[in-house]
Amino acid sequence: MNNTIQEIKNDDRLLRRVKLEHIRDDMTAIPLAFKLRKKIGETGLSVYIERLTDYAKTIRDVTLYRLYILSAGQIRDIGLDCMHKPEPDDYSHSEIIGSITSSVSSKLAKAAVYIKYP
Amino acid sequence: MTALQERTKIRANEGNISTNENWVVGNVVQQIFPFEKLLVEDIYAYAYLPGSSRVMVVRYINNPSEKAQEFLRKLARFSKLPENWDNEGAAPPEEKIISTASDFISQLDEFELPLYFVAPGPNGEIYLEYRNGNNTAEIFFNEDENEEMILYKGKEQIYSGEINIDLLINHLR
Repeated sequence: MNNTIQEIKNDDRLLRRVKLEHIRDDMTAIPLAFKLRKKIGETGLSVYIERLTDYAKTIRDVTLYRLYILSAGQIRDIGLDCMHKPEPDDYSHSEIIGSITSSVSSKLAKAAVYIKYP
Repeated sequence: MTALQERTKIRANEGNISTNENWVVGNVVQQIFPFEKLLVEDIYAYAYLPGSSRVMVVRYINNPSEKAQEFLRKLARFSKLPENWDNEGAAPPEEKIISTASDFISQLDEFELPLYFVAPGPNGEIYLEYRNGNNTAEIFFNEDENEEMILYKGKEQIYSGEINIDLLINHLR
């Protein structure tokens, strides 16, 4: 497994997997798609560096999820940061970290752009 | 939710009046007067106007609109969500949170605000959204019973904080 930590540059594009329940009819994501799961102790929002992965791998199950994209620069403009945190089965895995309040989740959702896949 | 109890849409001879606008109908000459204070006691509201007779108006309890009924049915279904309903560890919303969200929808239905979206969150919270053109209101009924409201004009977030009914109504009208 490659454990080399990559620097995430502002123009890096990060993919977020969003459940269908958290997508409006116009395919925009609602803020709940960017909430931390406190009960399982999540400390960062999982995202995947686009240049290190492909959509098929990231989406996992096309019947349950859709993909959204944000640039690292957009995330940092909101006052958050992102770090590369490879997982054993996914080298592209990264996390959005910082104070993720409802207001911040809402801003992330507004900034996220839907990827037409599949 | 106290703020909601202070607002009762009343039906009088002239039609429907929203008390948050501080209007009341006089019973003598059938005119509408601005009025600073309206006392709401259970189902009756008494309004006093200088120089006029006391008038009594009866609060009407309307059936929820079709849209509100649709959202209330969706909320009711959330109570049947199991633990880990999203296969990623999500908690189902507790009855108390569902009930708070239902009351909110029912009471604000009288103001004909445009309901747009409702969904359960990963922590047991409930998200409710109203939308009127470019104006959006996002309401969070959080699992810790904290309630939040975020308002947008287009993509600009113009308010984030506690639920403010006056602000919400004005934003969506």
